Amino acid sequence: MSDAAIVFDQVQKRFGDFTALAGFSERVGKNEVIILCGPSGSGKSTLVRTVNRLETLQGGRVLVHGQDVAEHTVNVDVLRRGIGFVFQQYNLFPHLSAIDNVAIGLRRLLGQPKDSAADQALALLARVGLKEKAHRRPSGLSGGEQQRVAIARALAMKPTILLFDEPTSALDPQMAGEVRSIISSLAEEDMTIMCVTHDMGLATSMADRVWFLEGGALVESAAASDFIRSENPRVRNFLSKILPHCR
Amino acid sequence: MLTIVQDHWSFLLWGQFPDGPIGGLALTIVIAVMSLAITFPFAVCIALARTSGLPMLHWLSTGYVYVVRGLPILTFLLWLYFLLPLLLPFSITPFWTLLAAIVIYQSAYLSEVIRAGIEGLPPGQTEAARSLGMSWFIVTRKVVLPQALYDVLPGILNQFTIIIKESSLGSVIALNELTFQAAQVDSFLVTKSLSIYCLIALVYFMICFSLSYLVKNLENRIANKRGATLTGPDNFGFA
Repeated sequence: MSDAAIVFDQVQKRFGDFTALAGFSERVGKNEVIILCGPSGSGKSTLVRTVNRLETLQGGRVLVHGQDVAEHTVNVDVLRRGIGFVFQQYNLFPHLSAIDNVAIGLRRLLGQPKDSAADQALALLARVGLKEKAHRRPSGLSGGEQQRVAIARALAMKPTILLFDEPTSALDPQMAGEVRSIISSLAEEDMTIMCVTHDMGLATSMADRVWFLEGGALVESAAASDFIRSENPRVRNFLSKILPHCR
Repeated sequence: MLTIVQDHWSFLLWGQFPDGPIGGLALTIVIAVMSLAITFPFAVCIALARTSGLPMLHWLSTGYVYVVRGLPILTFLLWLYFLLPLLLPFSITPFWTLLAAIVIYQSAYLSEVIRAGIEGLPPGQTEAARSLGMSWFIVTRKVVLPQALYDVLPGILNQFTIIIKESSLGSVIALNELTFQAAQVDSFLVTKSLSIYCLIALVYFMICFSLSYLVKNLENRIANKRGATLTGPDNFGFA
Protein backbone atom coordinates (compact mmCIF):
# COMPACT_ATOMS: atom_id res chain seq x y z
CA MET A 1 0.00 0.00 0.00
CA SER A 2 2.96 2.28 0.56
CA ASP A 3 3.41 3.17 -3.13
CA ALA A 4 -0.28 3.79 -3.69
CA ALA A 5 -1.32 7.42 -4.06
CA ILE A 6 -4.98 6.64 -3.50
CA VAL A 7 -6.60 3.57 -1.97
CA PHE A 8 -10.33 2.94 -2.07
CA ASP A 9 -11.27 0.42 0.57
CA GLN A 10 -14.87 -0.87 0.57
CA VAL A 11 -16.15 2.63 -0.22
CA GLN A 12 -19.90 2.98 0.15
CA LYS A 13 -22.00 5.98 -0.75
CA ARG A 14 -25.78 6.28 -0.99
CA PHE A 15 -27.99 9.19 -1.95
CA GLY A 16 -31.31 8.29 -0.33
CA ASP A 17 -32.30 4.92 -1.80
CA PHE A 18 -29.79 5.19 -4.62
CA THR A 19 -26.49 3.39 -4.15
CA ALA A 20 -23.75 5.37 -5.88
CA LEU A 21 -20.83 3.28 -4.62
CA ALA A 22 -21.33 -0.26 -3.42
CA GLY A 23 -18.21 -1.24 -1.49
CA PHE A 24 -15.74 -0.03 -4.12
CA SER A 25 -12.16 -1.19 -3.61
CA GLU A 26 -9.18 -0.35 -5.80
CA ARG A 27 -5.89 1.47 -5.64
CA VAL A 28 -4.17 4.07 -7.76
CA GLY A 29 -0.39 4.01 -7.92
CA LYS A 30 1.79 7.08 -7.67
CA ASN A 31 1.88 8.98 -10.99
CA GLU A 32 -0.63 6.56 -12.45
CA VAL A 33 -3.24 7.91 -14.84
CA ILE A 34 -6.68 6.37 -14.42
CA ILE A 35 -9.59 7.01 -16.72
CA LEU A 36 -13.03 6.26 -15.28
CA CYS A 37 -15.90 5.54 -17.58
CA GLY A 38 -19.28 3.93 -17.38
CA PRO A 39 -22.94 4.76 -17.85
CA SER A 40 -24.62 7.69 -16.09
CA GLY A 41 -25.21 7.00 -12.41
CA SER A 42 -22.46 4.39 -12.25
CA GLY A 43 -20.67 6.28 -9.46
CA LYS A 44 -17.66 7.64 -11.40
CA SER A 45 -18.03 11.26 -10.35
CA THR A 46 -18.97 10.31 -6.82
CA LEU A 47 -15.84 8.20 -6.59
CA VAL A 48 -13.46 11.00 -7.58
CA ARG A 49 -15.30 13.39 -5.27
CA THR A 50 -14.59 11.10 -2.32
CA VAL A 51 -10.85 11.59 -2.84
CA ASN A 52 -10.86 15.19 -1.66
CA ARG A 53 -13.83 14.67 0.66
CA LEU A 54 -16.36 16.57 -1.43
CA GLU A 55 -18.50 13.53 -0.64
CA THR A 56 -18.67 11.91 2.78
CA LEU A 57 -18.85 8.13 2.97
CA GLN A 58 -21.39 5.83 4.54
CA GLY A 59 -18.86 3.04 4.76
CA GLY A 60 -15.29 2.12 3.94
CA ARG A 61 -12.42 4.54 3.64
CA VAL A 62 -10.34 6.46 1.16
CA LEU A 63 -6.62 6.78 1.78
CA VAL A 64 -4.60 9.52 0.09
CA HIS A 65 -0.85 8.97 0.46
CA GLY A 66 -1.73 6.55 3.25
CA GLN A 67 -3.88 9.03 5.13
CA ASP A 68 -7.58 8.33 5.71
CA VAL A 69 -9.30 11.46 4.37
CA ALA A 70 -12.22 11.05 6.77
CA GLU A 71 -10.03 11.00 9.89
CA HIS A 72 -10.90 13.80 12.28
CA THR A 73 -7.21 14.56 12.69
CA VAL A 74 -6.87 15.30 8.97
CA ASN A 75 -7.09 18.98 8.11
CA VAL A 76 -9.30 18.74 5.06
CA ASP A 77 -8.28 22.20 3.79
CA VAL A 78 -4.61 21.20 3.77
CA LEU A 79 -5.46 17.84 2.20
CA ARG A 80 -7.37 19.55 -0.62
CA ARG A 81 -4.47 21.87 -1.42
CA GLY A 82 -2.53 18.83 -2.64
CA ILE A 83 -5.42 17.57 -4.78
CA GLY A 84 -6.43 19.59 -7.80
CA PHE A 85 -10.01 19.25 -8.98
CA VAL A 86 -11.35 20.28 -12.39
CA PHE A 87 -15.12 20.32 -12.76
CA GLN A 88 -17.30 19.64 -15.76
CA GLN A 89 -18.85 23.11 -15.54
CA TYR A 90 -15.49 24.83 -14.88
CA ASN A 91 -16.84 26.63 -11.78
CA LEU A 92 -14.62 29.65 -12.27
CA PHE A 93 -15.34 32.58 -9.96
CA PRO A 94 -17.21 34.99 -12.24
CA HIS A 95 -16.34 38.12 -10.25
CA LEU A 96 -12.61 37.50 -10.73
CA SER A 97 -10.50 37.79 -13.87
CA ALA A 98 -8.72 34.70 -15.21
CA ILE A 99 -5.47 35.70 -13.51
CA ASP A 100 -7.24 36.28 -10.19
CA ASN A 101 -8.99 32.93 -10.47
CA VAL A 102 -5.59 31.29 -10.75
CA ALA A 103 -3.90 33.48 -8.15
CA ILE A 104 -6.55 33.33 -5.44
CA GLY A 105 -5.16 30.14 -3.93
CA LEU A 106 -1.59 31.41 -4.06
CA ARG A 107 -2.56 34.66 -2.38
CA ARG A 108 -5.08 33.49 0.19
CA LEU A 109 -3.86 30.00 1.01
CA LEU A 110 -0.11 30.13 0.49
CA GLY A 111 0.16 33.79 1.52
CA GLN A 112 2.26 34.75 -1.47
CA PRO A 113 2.83 38.44 -2.18
CA LYS A 114 0.63 39.96 -4.85
CA ASP A 115 3.37 40.36 -7.49
CA SER A 116 4.76 36.88 -7.04
CA ALA A 117 1.28 35.33 -7.18
CA ALA A 118 0.51 37.35 -10.31
CA ASP A 119 3.73 36.19 -12.00
CA GLN A 120 3.02 32.54 -11.19
CA ALA A 121 -0.59 32.82 -12.28
CA LEU A 122 0.49 34.41 -15.55
CA ALA A 123 3.02 31.63 -16.14
CA LEU A 124 0.31 29.02 -15.56
CA LEU A 125 -2.04 30.81 -17.93
CA ALA A 126 0.75 30.92 -20.52
CA ARG A 127 1.14 27.17 -20.07
CA VAL A 128 -2.51 26.64 -21.01
CA GLY A 129 -2.20 29.17 -23.85
CA LEU A 130 -4.17 31.98 -22.27
CA LYS A 131 -1.58 34.58 -21.34
CA GLU A 132 -3.17 37.17 -23.62
CA LYS A 133 -6.56 36.66 -22.00
CA ALA A 134 -5.33 36.78 -18.42
CA HIS A 135 -7.34 39.86 -17.56
CA ARG A 136 -10.63 38.70 -18.97
CA ARG A 137 -13.53 37.66 -16.80
CA PRO A 138 -14.89 34.14 -17.29
CA SER A 139 -17.88 35.66 -19.10
CA GLY A 140 -15.48 36.87 -21.78
CA LEU A 141 -13.94 33.45 -22.37
CA SER A 142 -15.17 30.49 -24.40
CA GLY A 143 -16.02 27.20 -22.67
CA GLY A 144 -12.70 25.67 -23.67
CA GLU A 145 -10.81 28.71 -22.42
CA GLN A 146 -12.70 28.63 -19.13
CA GLN A 147 -11.80 24.98 -18.69
CA ARG A 148 -8.15 25.78 -19.40
CA VAL A 149 -8.24 28.51 -16.73
CA ALA A 150 -9.81 25.97 -14.36
CA ILE A 151 -6.90 23.60 -15.07
CA ALA A 152 -4.40 26.41 -14.43
CA ARG A 153 -6.23 27.21 -11.18
CA ALA A 154 -5.99 23.58 -10.09
CA LEU A 155 -2.29 23.47 -10.99
CA ALA A 156 -1.52 26.64 -9.06
CA MET A 157 -1.43 24.78 -5.76
CA LYS A 158 1.15 22.34 -7.18
CA PRO A 159 -1.00 19.28 -6.49
CA THR A 160 0.37 15.76 -6.53
CA ILE A 161 -3.05 14.41 -7.49
CA LEU A 162 -5.32 15.83 -10.17
CA LEU A 163 -8.98 14.90 -10.46
CA PHE A 164 -11.03 15.66 -13.55
CA ASP A 165 -14.78 15.27 -13.64
CA GLU A 166 -15.83 15.08 -17.29
CA PRO A 167 -13.56 17.96 -18.31
CA THR A 168 -14.46 17.90 -22.01
CA SER A 169 -18.09 16.82 -22.02
CA ALA A 170 -19.51 20.35 -21.95
CA LEU A 171 -17.31 21.45 -24.85
CA ASP A 172 -17.65 21.30 -28.60
CA PRO A 173 -15.12 19.06 -30.44
CA GLN A 174 -12.65 21.86 -31.18
CA MET A 175 -12.62 23.18 -27.62
CA ALA A 176 -12.51 19.62 -26.26
CA GLY A 177 -9.42 19.05 -28.39
CA GLU A 178 -7.66 22.06 -26.84
CA VAL A 179 -8.43 20.84 -23.32
CA ARG A 180 -7.57 17.23 -24.20
CA SER A 181 -4.07 18.18 -25.35
CA ILE A 182 -3.41 20.04 -22.10
CA ILE A 183 -4.64 17.15 -19.97
CA SER A 184 -2.56 14.70 -22.03
CA SER A 185 0.53 16.85 -21.47
CA LEU A 186 -0.12 16.79 -17.72
CA ALA A 187 -0.18 13.00 -17.83
CA GLU A 188 3.48 13.11 -18.89
CA GLU A 189 4.42 14.76 -15.62
CA ASP A 190 4.87 13.33 -12.15
CA MET A 191 1.26 13.50 -11.20
CA THR A 192 -1.42 11.04 -10.23
CA ILE A 193 -4.49 11.63 -12.35
CA MET A 194 -8.04 10.33 -12.13
CA CYS A 195 -10.24 11.49 -14.95
CA VAL A 196 -13.92 10.77 -15.44
CA THR A 197 -14.65 10.90 -19.14
CA HIS A 198 -16.42 9.22 -22.02
CA ASP A 199 -13.78 10.60 -24.33
CA MET A 200 -12.02 7.45 -25.51
CA GLY A 201 -9.54 9.58 -27.44
CA LEU A 202 -8.41 11.06 -24.15
CA ALA A 203 -8.40 7.61 -22.54
CA THR A 204 -6.21 5.99 -25.18
CA SER A 205 -3.81 8.93 -25.34
CA MET A 206 -3.01 9.15 -21.66
CA ALA A 207 -4.44 6.36 -19.51
CA ASP A 208 -2.37 3.78 -17.75
CA ARG A 209 -5.58 2.01 -16.85
CA VAL A 210 -9.24 2.44 -17.66
CA TRP A 211 -11.80 1.62 -15.00
CA PHE A 212 -15.28 0.74 -16.12
CA LEU A 213 -17.88 1.24 -13.40
CA GLU A 214 -21.49 0.15 -13.30
CA GLY A 215 -23.89 0.24 -10.36
CA GLY A 216 -21.22 1.70 -8.10
CA ALA A 217 -18.85 -1.21 -8.60
CA LEU A 218 -15.78 -1.85 -10.73
CA VAL A 219 -16.64 -4.06 -13.69
CA GLU A 220 -13.36 -3.90 -15.59
CA SER A 221 -9.91 -2.48 -15.07
CA ALA A 222 -7.60 -2.69 -18.07
CA ALA A 223 -4.94 -0.87 -20.04
CA ALA A 224 -6.54 1.55 -22.50
CA SER A 225 -5.60 -0.52 -25.56
CA ASP A 226 -7.00 -3.68 -23.94
CA PHE A 227 -10.10 -1.90 -22.72
CA ILE A 228 -11.41 -0.99 -26.15
CA ARG A 229 -10.98 -4.65 -27.17
CA SER A 230 -12.60 -5.96 -24.01
CA GLU A 231 -14.85 -9.00 -24.39
CA ASN A 232 -16.90 -8.11 -21.32
CA PRO A 233 -20.48 -7.73 -22.65
CA ARG A 234 -21.25 -4.75 -20.39
CA VAL A 235 -18.13 -2.97 -21.58
CA ARG A 236 -18.93 -3.89 -25.22
CA ASN A 237 -22.44 -2.56 -24.78
CA PHE A 238 -21.12 0.70 -23.33
CA LEU A 239 -18.45 1.13 -25.99
CA SER A 240 -20.91 0.42 -28.78
CA LYS A 241 -22.89 3.46 -27.64
CA ILE A 242 -19.96 5.86 -27.59
CA LEU A 243 -17.84 4.30 -30.34
CA PRO A 244 -20.12 3.17 -33.18
CA HIS A 245 -17.36 1.11 -34.82
CA CYS A 246 -17.23 -1.11 -31.70
CA ARG A 247 -20.71 -2.52 -32.39
CA MET B 1 -44.92 75.56 1.61
CA LEU B 2 -41.92 77.83 1.05
CA THR B 3 -43.06 80.07 3.90
CA ILE B 4 -43.08 77.08 6.23
CA VAL B 5 -39.55 76.22 5.20
CA GLN B 6 -38.41 79.84 5.58
CA ASP B 7 -39.99 80.22 9.03
CA HIS B 8 -39.10 76.81 10.45
CA TRP B 9 -36.16 75.54 8.43
CA SER B 10 -33.80 75.47 11.34
CA PHE B 11 -36.23 73.50 13.46
CA LEU B 12 -37.15 71.11 10.65
CA LEU B 13 -33.78 70.69 9.01
CA TRP B 14 -30.45 71.22 10.73
CA GLY B 15 -31.30 72.84 14.09
CA GLN B 16 -28.65 74.62 16.13
CA PHE B 17 -26.33 71.61 16.20
CA PRO B 18 -23.67 71.52 17.68
CA ASP B 19 -24.58 74.62 19.76
CA GLY B 20 -28.18 73.58 20.38
CA PRO B 21 -30.78 70.91 19.62
CA ILE B 22 -30.31 69.03 16.39
CA GLY B 23 -32.93 69.58 13.67
CA GLY B 24 -35.43 67.02 12.41
CA LEU B 25 -33.84 66.21 9.07
CA ALA B 26 -30.34 66.03 10.55
CA LEU B 27 -31.49 63.61 13.24
CA THR B 28 -33.34 61.51 10.68
CA ILE B 29 -30.13 61.26 8.64
CA VAL B 30 -28.10 60.38 11.73
CA ILE B 31 -30.59 57.62 12.68
CA ALA B 32 -30.68 56.30 9.11
CA VAL B 33 -26.90 56.24 8.67
CA MET B 34 -26.30 54.62 12.05
CA SER B 35 -29.08 52.09 11.51
CA LEU B 36 -27.72 51.14 8.10
CA ALA B 37 -24.16 50.90 9.40
CA ILE B 38 -25.13 48.62 12.29
CA THR B 39 -27.89 46.64 10.56
CA PHE B 40 -25.84 45.56 7.54
CA PRO B 41 -23.09 43.59 9.34
CA PHE B 42 -25.68 42.11 11.71
CA ALA B 43 -27.78 41.00 8.76
CA VAL B 44 -24.77 39.44 7.03
CA CYS B 45 -23.93 37.50 10.22
CA ILE B 46 -27.53 36.26 10.60
CA ALA B 47 -27.66 35.22 6.93
CA LEU B 48 -24.37 33.36 7.31
CA ALA B 49 -25.64 31.69 10.49
CA ARG B 50 -28.80 30.56 8.67
CA THR B 51 -26.80 29.10 5.81
CA SER B 52 -23.92 27.78 7.91
CA GLY B 53 -25.20 24.24 8.25
CA LEU B 54 -24.35 24.32 11.97
CA PRO B 55 -27.59 23.24 13.69
CA MET B 56 -27.29 25.49 16.73
CA LEU B 57 -26.53 28.63 14.71
CA HIS B 58 -29.16 27.73 12.15
CA TRP B 59 -31.94 27.28 14.67
CA LEU B 60 -31.03 30.36 16.68
CA SER B 61 -30.91 32.60 13.62
CA THR B 62 -34.04 31.06 12.12
CA GLY B 63 -35.91 31.54 15.40
CA TYR B 64 -34.76 35.17 15.53
CA VAL B 65 -35.98 35.86 12.01
CA TYR B 66 -39.34 34.16 12.58
CA VAL B 67 -40.01 35.98 15.86
CA VAL B 68 -39.10 39.40 14.47
CA ARG B 69 -41.03 38.79 11.26
CA GLY B 70 -44.14 38.02 13.28
CA LEU B 71 -44.24 41.41 14.99
CA PRO B 72 -45.20 44.83 13.62
CA ILE B 73 -42.30 47.24 14.06
CA LEU B 74 -44.46 49.82 15.87
CA THR B 75 -45.48 47.22 18.46
CA PHE B 76 -41.87 46.15 18.72
CA LEU B 77 -40.68 49.74 19.21
CA LEU B 78 -43.22 50.43 21.95
CA TRP B 79 -42.39 47.11 23.59
CA LEU B 80 -38.68 48.01 23.64
CA TYR B 81 -39.51 51.53 24.82
CA PHE B 82 -41.20 50.17 27.93
CA LEU B 83 -39.04 47.07 28.41
CA LEU B 84 -35.51 48.42 28.06
CA PRO B 85 -35.69 50.81 31.06
CA LEU B 86 -36.73 47.79 33.18
CA LEU B 87 -33.88 45.61 31.94
CA LEU B 88 -31.04 48.08 31.83
CA PRO B 89 -29.36 49.55 34.90
CA PHE B 90 -29.10 52.95 33.19
CA SER B 91 -31.64 55.18 31.47
CA ILE B 92 -31.96 54.84 27.72
CA THR B 93 -32.97 57.69 25.46
CA PRO B 94 -35.63 57.43 22.73
CA PHE B 95 -32.80 57.77 20.18
CA TRP B 96 -31.11 54.54 21.29
CA THR B 97 -34.46 52.80 21.71
CA LEU B 98 -35.39 53.58 18.11
CA LEU B 99 -31.96 52.60 16.88
CA ALA B 100 -32.17 49.27 18.71
CA ALA B 101 -35.66 48.63 17.33
CA ILE B 102 -34.65 49.34 13.73
CA VAL B 103 -31.44 47.34 13.96
CA ILE B 104 -33.07 44.28 15.56
CA TYR B 105 -36.07 44.44 13.24
CA GLN B 106 -34.34 45.20 9.95
CA SER B 107 -31.44 42.80 10.57
CA ALA B 108 -33.98 40.00 10.30
CA TYR B 109 -35.46 41.27 7.04
CA LEU B 110 -32.16 42.25 5.46
CA SER B 111 -30.65 38.90 6.44
CA GLU B 112 -33.36 37.15 4.43
CA VAL B 113 -32.47 39.21 1.35
CA ILE B 114 -28.78 38.32 1.80
CA ARG B 115 -29.60 34.67 2.49
CA ALA B 116 -31.46 34.53 -0.83
CA GLY B 117 -28.29 35.80 -2.52
CA ILE B 118 -26.11 33.21 -0.78
CA GLU B 119 -28.45 30.32 -1.51
CA GLY B 120 -28.92 31.50 -5.09
CA LEU B 121 -25.25 30.97 -5.90
CA PRO B 122 -24.51 27.79 -7.87
CA PRO B 123 -23.20 25.15 -5.42
CA GLY B 124 -20.25 24.66 -7.77
CA GLN B 125 -18.84 27.99 -6.62
CA THR B 126 -18.45 26.84 -3.04
CA GLU B 127 -17.25 23.41 -4.14
CA ALA B 128 -14.57 24.91 -6.38
CA ALA B 129 -13.36 27.14 -3.56
CA ARG B 130 -13.39 24.33 -1.01
CA SER B 131 -11.60 21.98 -3.38
CA LEU B 132 -8.75 24.51 -3.58
CA GLY B 133 -8.41 24.12 0.18
CA MET B 134 -10.04 27.35 1.26
CA SER B 135 -11.46 27.57 4.76
CA TRP B 136 -15.10 28.50 5.33
CA PHE B 137 -14.02 32.03 6.23
CA ILE B 138 -12.03 32.60 3.02
CA VAL B 139 -14.75 31.01 0.89
CA THR B 140 -17.31 33.31 2.48
CA ARG B 141 -15.23 36.47 2.23
CA LYS B 142 -13.66 35.99 -1.19
CA VAL B 143 -16.13 33.90 -3.14
CA VAL B 144 -19.62 33.83 -1.62
CA LEU B 145 -20.28 37.32 -0.29
CA PRO B 146 -18.82 39.33 -3.20
CA GLN B 147 -21.17 37.50 -5.55
CA ALA B 148 -24.19 37.12 -3.28
CA LEU B 149 -24.27 40.75 -2.12
CA TYR B 150 -23.92 42.01 -5.67
CA ASP B 151 -26.71 39.74 -6.86
CA VAL B 152 -29.13 41.07 -4.25
CA LEU B 153 -28.10 44.72 -4.37
CA PRO B 154 -31.60 45.87 -5.44
CA GLY B 155 -33.13 44.00 -2.48
CA ILE B 156 -30.57 45.50 -0.10
CA LEU B 157 -31.36 48.98 -1.43
CA ASN B 158 -35.04 48.29 -0.87
CA GLN B 159 -34.40 47.48 2.79
CA PHE B 160 -32.18 50.55 3.14
CA THR B 161 -34.97 52.86 1.98
CA ILE B 162 -37.38 51.11 4.36
CA ILE B 163 -34.92 51.75 7.21
CA ILE B 164 -34.85 55.47 6.36
CA LYS B 165 -38.63 55.65 6.34
CA GLU B 166 -38.92 53.65 9.55
CA SER B 167 -36.90 56.33 11.34
CA SER B 168 -40.16 58.33 11.26
CA LEU B 169 -41.51 55.96 13.95
CA GLY B 170 -39.35 57.90 16.38
CA SER B 171 -42.19 60.42 16.47
CA VAL B 172 -44.32 58.03 18.59
CA ILE B 173 -41.69 57.94 21.34
CA ALA B 174 -41.11 61.73 21.23
CA LEU B 175 -37.83 61.59 19.37
CA ASN B 176 -37.36 64.91 17.59
CA GLU B 177 -36.64 63.49 14.15
CA LEU B 178 -38.17 64.92 10.98
CA THR B 179 -41.74 63.62 11.35
CA PHE B 180 -41.90 64.57 15.03
CA GLN B 181 -40.63 68.07 14.27
CA ALA B 182 -43.17 68.38 11.47
CA ALA B 183 -45.93 67.44 13.90
CA GLN B 184 -44.63 70.13 16.25
CA VAL B 185 -44.73 72.74 13.46
CA ASP B 186 -48.19 71.48 12.51
CA SER B 187 -49.51 71.93 16.02
CA PHE B 188 -47.99 75.42 16.07
CA LEU B 189 -49.43 76.53 12.72
CA VAL B 190 -52.69 74.52 13.11
CA THR B 191 -54.09 75.15 9.59
CA LYS B 192 -51.15 74.08 7.41
CA SER B 193 -51.20 70.32 8.00
CA LEU B 194 -51.42 69.28 4.36
CA SER B 195 -48.58 71.58 3.29
CA ILE B 196 -46.36 70.47 6.16
CA TYR B 197 -46.83 66.77 5.50
CA CYS B 198 -46.43 67.28 1.74
CA LEU B 199 -43.13 68.98 2.49
CA ILE B 200 -42.06 66.13 4.76
CA ALA B 201 -43.05 63.56 2.12
CA LEU B 202 -40.95 65.47 -0.41
CA VAL B 203 -37.93 65.41 1.92
CA TYR B 204 -38.24 61.65 2.54
CA PHE B 205 -38.65 61.08 -1.18
CA MET B 206 -35.52 63.09 -1.96
CA ILE B 207 -33.45 61.16 0.59
CA CYS B 208 -34.65 57.77 -0.64
CA PHE B 209 -34.36 58.77 -4.29
CA SER B 210 -30.79 60.00 -3.73
CA LEU B 211 -29.92 56.72 -2.06
CA SER B 212 -31.48 54.76 -4.93
CA TYR B 213 -29.48 56.86 -7.38
CA LEU B 214 -26.26 56.30 -5.46
CA VAL B 215 -26.80 52.55 -5.25
CA LYS B 216 -27.73 52.39 -8.94
CA ASN B 217 -24.45 54.14 -9.76
CA LEU B 218 -22.60 51.72 -7.50
CA GLU B 219 -24.32 48.79 -9.23
CA ASN B 220 -23.31 50.14 -12.65
CA ARG B 221 -19.72 50.67 -11.52
CA ILE B 222 -19.49 47.11 -10.21
CA ALA B 223 -21.13 45.78 -13.37
CA ASN B 224 -18.60 47.69 -15.51
CA LYS B 225 -15.77 46.47 -13.33
CA ARG B 226 -17.07 42.93 -13.73
CA GLY B 227 -17.35 43.28 -17.49
CA ALA B 228 -15.72 40.67 -19.63
CA THR B 229 -12.39 42.43 -20.09
CA LEU B 230 -10.46 44.52 -17.65
CA THR B 231 -7.71 46.78 -18.80
CA GLY B 232 -5.04 48.66 -16.95
CA PRO B 233 -2.78 47.84 -14.08
CA ASP B 234 -5.46 47.68 -11.39
CA ASN B 235 -7.16 44.56 -12.62
CA PHE B 236 -5.16 42.24 -10.41
CA GLY B 237 -5.98 42.33 -6.78
CA PHE B 238 -9.49 41.03 -6.28
CA ALA B 239 -7.99 37.70 -5.26
